[in-house]
Amino acid sequence: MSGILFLAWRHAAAHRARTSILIACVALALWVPWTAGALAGQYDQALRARADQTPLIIGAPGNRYDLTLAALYFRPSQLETVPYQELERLQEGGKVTFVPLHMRFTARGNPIVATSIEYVEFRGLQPVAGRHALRLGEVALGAEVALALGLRPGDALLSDPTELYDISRPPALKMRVAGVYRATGTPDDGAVFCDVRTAWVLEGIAHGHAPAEGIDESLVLSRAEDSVAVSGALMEYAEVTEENEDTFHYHGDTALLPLSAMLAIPASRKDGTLLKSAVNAAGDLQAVTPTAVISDLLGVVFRIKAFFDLVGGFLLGTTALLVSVVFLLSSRLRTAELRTLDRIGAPRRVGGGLIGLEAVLVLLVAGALAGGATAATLRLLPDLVSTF
Amino acid sequence: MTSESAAGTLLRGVSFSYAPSAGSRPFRLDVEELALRAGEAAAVIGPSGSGKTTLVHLCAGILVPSSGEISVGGVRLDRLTDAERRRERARQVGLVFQEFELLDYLNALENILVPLRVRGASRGELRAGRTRATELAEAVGIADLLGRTPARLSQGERQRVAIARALVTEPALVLCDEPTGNLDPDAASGAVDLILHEARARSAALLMVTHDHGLLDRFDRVIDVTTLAGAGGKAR
Repeated sequence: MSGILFLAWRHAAAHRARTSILIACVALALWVPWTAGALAGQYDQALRARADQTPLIIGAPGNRYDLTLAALYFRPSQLETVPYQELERLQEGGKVTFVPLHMRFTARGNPIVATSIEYVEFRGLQPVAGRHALRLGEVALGAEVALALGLRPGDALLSDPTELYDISRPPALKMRVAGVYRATGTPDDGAVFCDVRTAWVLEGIAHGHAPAEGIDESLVLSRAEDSVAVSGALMEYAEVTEENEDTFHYHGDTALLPLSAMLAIPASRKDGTLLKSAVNAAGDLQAVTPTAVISDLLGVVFRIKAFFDLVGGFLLGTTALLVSVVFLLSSRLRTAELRTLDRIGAPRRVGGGLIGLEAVLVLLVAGALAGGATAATLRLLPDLVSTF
Repeated sequence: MTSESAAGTLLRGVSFSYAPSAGSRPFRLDVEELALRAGEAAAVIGPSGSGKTTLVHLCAGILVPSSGEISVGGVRLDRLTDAERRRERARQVGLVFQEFELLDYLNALENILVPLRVRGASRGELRAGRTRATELAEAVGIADLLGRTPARLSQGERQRVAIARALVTEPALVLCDEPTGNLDPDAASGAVDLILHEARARSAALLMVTHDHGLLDRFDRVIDVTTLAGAGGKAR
């Protein structure tokens, strides 16, 4: 067998162009379904793992997929807000911990997740440098954000402006980096965390005041006895500092301060069931079980995947037939060579052995290439899964 | 079995026929007795279609007689299974074809070693075979061409590779089927001398089919295939 293997190898090596094309065809035909399958598996695992860890999500009535994807994976969405007083009202029951979530803003393209320290504890986020963002205007960075932006504790990060023509809010908020979290392989790695009060500053609902000395008179809009109103052009950004922190205050009813959603962490399964029933029965909010929503979503995704599996199967089958034709034609072209080997004393099935082994060599190399390409694809595209 | 055939080749009472197909004449070859000693060289002559190639194929075990005895190097080929005959052929018989039939994707050294490869030689056998191949290449004058593929060799160089391939297993019998048919007269003469010299040097019996009657005086015997049925080999 080793002699026939040698001849098969030398024949394949001598006909490099033909062998390379065959290997490329088979590798491509394998790579597509393997990569699709592996990506789908990773999606499934990553999505379910995050959903399984989260007992309940509460938000405004509307699309439950949007609510779940926003609360779990920080996907941008236009969620109706929930007044903060709803969280306080629900919390009066005492058997469920509620975690506020506000996710309307971004900083250099990364979602700003405004929440409370309970979120950090619930998700098990550990600072690898610095500390949690506890004070107004502070942020703690997910591992990928810190790496991508090259930020460390003590650095500053500007929020992305949202509404340039709204003079009631600052164009951007300069936030201090308090800490960087250890990588978790979840969407938390791609988020910027801050206290929920900081989000309300970003909303323009809360603001501070600065001393009016030394202001360019051309930017003064009006002067009163105890204050000066200036043009928005004066400030490129707002910043919470030790000097002005105490001047920050809310305008309007603090009970109506907006949240995007809440995570509910019941003490028991029963408490969770009771809460979900009560919330959904009342109708002014909706409570969803992430596992059920994600299962629904994956059902759709996997029906699409089944279609792609079918297409991949046809592709593989077609490639197999074409490769068979190439080897069949090759065997005819090699008739003289096989007759010579037969006359020299090669085993009876040397022809089949030679062509079969060459096919196996092509399949092995193509399989190894497709496996490597699949691994490389999964490695190069981790964000597809971790950030959904 | 005679003492001659124990080391050489013997055909006795052999009968072989092709089953006639539509539109073709039936063919039959009978050999009463043909014995070749080790180191003996015989030329096979006869008109086209008289059975020269069939005789070569019977001696190699490529064809199986319907009756009779064929021995090569003391082994009764007619009693072996197909797989055993193939193994014996790769071990005991060296073949040189008219078209040389080298494998175009192997270099000269690899072509010489093909008989060892196809019989599944061990690493040790291959190592020894490689040494013999190098010596043979030196003997036939292609030592510096071993890395070349057949496409980069001249007709004469290809034939020398084919001769080395036939001898690399140190066979008991070397069979040549018109090996000079594609060479000019000078080259043909040199090739026959080379095959005779190398076969004799290795004490191998040699049976060569040839149409070139000018070369016959170099052989120990000349066998007219048309006389094999009754008179045995025709000795010169």
